[in-house]
Amino acid sequence: MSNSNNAEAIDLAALQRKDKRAFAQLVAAYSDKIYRLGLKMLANEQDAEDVLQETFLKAYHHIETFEGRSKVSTWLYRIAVNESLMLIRKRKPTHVNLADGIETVEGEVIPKQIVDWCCLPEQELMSKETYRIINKGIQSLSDANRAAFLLRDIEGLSTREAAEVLQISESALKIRLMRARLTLREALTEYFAGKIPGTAR
Amino acid sequence: MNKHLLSGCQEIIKHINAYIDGELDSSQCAQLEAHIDACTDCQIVFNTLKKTIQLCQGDREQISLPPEVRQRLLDSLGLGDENDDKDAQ
Ligand SMILES: [Zn+2]
Repeated sequence: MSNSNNAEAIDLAALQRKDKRAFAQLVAAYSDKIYRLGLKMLANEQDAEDVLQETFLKAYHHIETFEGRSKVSTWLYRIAVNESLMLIRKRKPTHVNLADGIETVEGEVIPKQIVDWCCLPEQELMSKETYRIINKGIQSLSDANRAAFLLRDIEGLSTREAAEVLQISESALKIRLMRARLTLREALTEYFAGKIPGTAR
Repeated sequence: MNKHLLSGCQEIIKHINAYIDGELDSSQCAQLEAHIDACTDCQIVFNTLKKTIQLCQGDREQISLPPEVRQRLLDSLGLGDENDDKDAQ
């Protein structure tokens, strides 16, 4: 059960004493991740910096209210997700999620395009344009599905941790993750299908 | 127990994430693998889904915190002079 990554070596008691070294350690361990989460949630560097700043300032000012029932990282991610959602609401009050179109009314996701693009050469798969499509796809997800996907697949949290961050059940987390992954697969398939002659269908 | 669940492509798709994440038990795994071996469409969905996740994770490595952003964070936390830790980049 012991988790030996640098993050959990952080001393909660020291943080709660507002010990500067402990906070510097927390920043060193998580500032990249929180910034990346903000950037992927909002697709804007200034917003990502705001999320980063607010997350650590709130953590600093409220660490004494943290009860230690989850990991410090889970708590940090939760602050960061909430900050991101708040900024999104401020920035895009009429935000519409177009890519949810592949969900049926029952909320099931059905793969539409069946094209095997895995055989494309690596340099084609990992091109700048691919990453542009991926980021566009991530932005097209609903906020809820995007957060689930970023925490699980990009930040590498476990299902349980990600569910804890979002304060939803593990089964709800899995459903969001599935919708997100299938939506991104659909976006990439649409893009790559054009590169495989004669496979469009 | 849930044997009937893994018949038909729709059911396979429902379980494909759990399979990718290693959350199926061994009998469910075996059923899913048997279906995927015999069904080209599900095989393609599985392969492209796995590849999609891989590509997204590859994109992750391209983002790092700009040093000036890190510095502004340290300054606002009053940690500006204390942190000589190695930067991520
Ligand atoms: Zn099938």
